[in-house]
Amino acid sequence: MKILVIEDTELHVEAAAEQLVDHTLSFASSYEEGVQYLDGKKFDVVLTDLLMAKGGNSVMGAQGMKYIFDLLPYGFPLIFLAAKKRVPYIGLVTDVNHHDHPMSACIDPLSSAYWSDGDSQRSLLRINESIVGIFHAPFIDQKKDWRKVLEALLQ
Amino acid sequence: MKSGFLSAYEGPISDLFLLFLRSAQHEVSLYQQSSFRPVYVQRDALDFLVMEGRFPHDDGFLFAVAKHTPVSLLYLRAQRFFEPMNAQDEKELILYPHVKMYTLFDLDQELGIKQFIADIGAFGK
Repeated sequence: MKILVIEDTELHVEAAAEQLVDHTLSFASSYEEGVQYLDGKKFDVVLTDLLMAKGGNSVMGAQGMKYIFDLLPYGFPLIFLAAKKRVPYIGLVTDVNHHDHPMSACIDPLSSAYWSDGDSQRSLLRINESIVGIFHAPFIDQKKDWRKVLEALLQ
Repeated sequence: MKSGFLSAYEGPISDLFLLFLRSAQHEVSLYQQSSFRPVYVQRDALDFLVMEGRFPHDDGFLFAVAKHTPVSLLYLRAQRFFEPMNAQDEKELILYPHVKMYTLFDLDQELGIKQFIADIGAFGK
């Protein structure tokens, strides 16, 4: 499958490269890079982090420029953009504990407060023709377990 | 000391600022403003940053960098090119004590350049 991974933490990028080695992978490390990939190519799966930097200053005026390095929840607009682009499977996966950031806490009512196989499956949404999952990450050796997320989406 | 010059504009004015830095015996690393990331400060062991401001979005970029790096940030703001910094931004700048703004090309007083040269001469001494 053609998978786009939008992730700014090197540890989790390496994990994706190892775990999803049987797939054709593309990597983006910021919102703008993710948008460029979604505009330019077709993917079967998009897996995105929640918090990241904008990755550029396009469209920004004086006030907007102040935020270009801030870690903001770009994962949310990215999953909607991926759905708009008709990506069949979309996962938003955060490693941030729900006590540590309000945007992570927002994920609790969407799936669960932490990864659980059953809850994650039951929490899948449909946006247009896309299957969408919004999760707290499962981990393996402190790295995101992308394989588990992909299995949950594909089932 | 190691300085990072965030370059957004080419020309003799920018060259002049680089000359001042080198004359003060500082090592200068040049970065394009459009591709600079705050992580480069640690990666490249920079002691301070210098950037130019000629247009309003440069003020915004100043805040973007200031929020994400603790090293001294010297902002050469060319007031002649655009409006003075707005009052809200001036208030917000107080929250970043590691930022120093130099108003250049103030034709009445012309203090900005003099102060900048004095400050970079004193760095590391």
